[in-house]
Amino acid sequence: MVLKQMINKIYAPFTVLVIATVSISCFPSGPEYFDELDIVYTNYDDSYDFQSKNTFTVPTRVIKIDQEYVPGDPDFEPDFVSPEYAEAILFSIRSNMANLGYTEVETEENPDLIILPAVFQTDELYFYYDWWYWNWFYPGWGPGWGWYYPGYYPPQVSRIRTGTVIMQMTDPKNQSASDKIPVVWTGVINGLLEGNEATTTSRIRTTINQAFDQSPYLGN
Amino acid sequence: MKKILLLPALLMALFIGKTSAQNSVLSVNYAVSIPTGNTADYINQASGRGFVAEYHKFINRNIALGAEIGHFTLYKREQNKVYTEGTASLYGVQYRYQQSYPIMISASYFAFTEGIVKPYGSLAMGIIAHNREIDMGIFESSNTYWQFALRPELGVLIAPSEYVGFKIGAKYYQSFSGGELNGQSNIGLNVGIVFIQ
Repeated sequence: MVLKQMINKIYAPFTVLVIATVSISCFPSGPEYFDELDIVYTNYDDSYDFQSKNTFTVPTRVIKIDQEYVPGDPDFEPDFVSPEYAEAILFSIRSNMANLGYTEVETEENPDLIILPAVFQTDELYFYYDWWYWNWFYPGWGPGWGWYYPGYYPPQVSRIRTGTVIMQMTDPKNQSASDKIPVVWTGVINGLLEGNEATTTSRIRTTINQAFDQSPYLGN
Repeated sequence: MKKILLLPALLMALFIGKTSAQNSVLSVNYAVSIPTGNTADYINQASGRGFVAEYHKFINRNIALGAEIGHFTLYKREQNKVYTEGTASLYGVQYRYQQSYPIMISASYFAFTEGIVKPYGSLAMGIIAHNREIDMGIFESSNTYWQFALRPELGVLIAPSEYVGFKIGAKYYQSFSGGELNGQSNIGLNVGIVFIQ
């Protein structure tokens, strides 16, 4: 009788608890490598006749977008992506366009298509924010102030840095009456900004190739 | 040395007791899930990540009423696929998860009341909460759907002892469309330890 009670009162609930815990905690793992987080998005104007276009051009450098608005003055010069990454981006666009049957021409030669490559970088910070946010409220708060955590460690500052390459294929000959340029194809690549230069350039090439591969309608 | 002898003695004691009419049984099962139908369209990979706990109370020698709760996780990594909707195409590695939590009441019929091996059939009804998650890139989409469900089962209860036994069961879970998710189904294979009270 004691044994039966022991089984019912101790072993049975214990077994339920152990198996339930193991089952719920046994969650399959996610990505292990940076490139597993790379995604490629493309979209296009399906009424546009890509087949009738023959020539294209790309700029010599790739711009880096770091603010939402920029001053509209003529002397403005943006930041540019470092040459090794720009090279990877431009080379991949050129070779894919050539494979599709397009011929690269100079900008002055009136190309049918202009592809504009740009790079965004986003930082998302968790558990940390700039103390300056409290400047308006905190008594005596001023430049040079900050905070510290006496006797214990602050929350972990973890950061997800993602990079986005955006390619806009424009048609300079079909400018609208209100000076708007049609973007007939867009390719967006997003991934973590981690890893060394070699792996990053390799990921850039792979994902740009994918953007063109999944857009067979661009074929000339 | 005493301890070493104690363990087999304890196990012997568990299994030697005479089989008598039991009042209730609690079973704890390891559960394997094999997705079918719409579930298989989403994840077509069987999973061994699951458990089911069941409690049954006998209302007479053949029929037991009870309840079941459980949890199982289906998972699949989808690679090298382009997802197209209209003119937009999206490529990337997709991690798909579906966690299901059945909460059901059941009735079981035991054809034979004597002997160690007792085959049974059971029907359960209740709800299953399905939590679907898709991870792609740094993005994640997760939704929980509560669906009404039925679950027939065929199985065998093996009770060599008065206190403890085993069971093997094959179940078919069918939940019906609800919460913007179509009906889900899977086969559940259960192997469990049974505590007889």
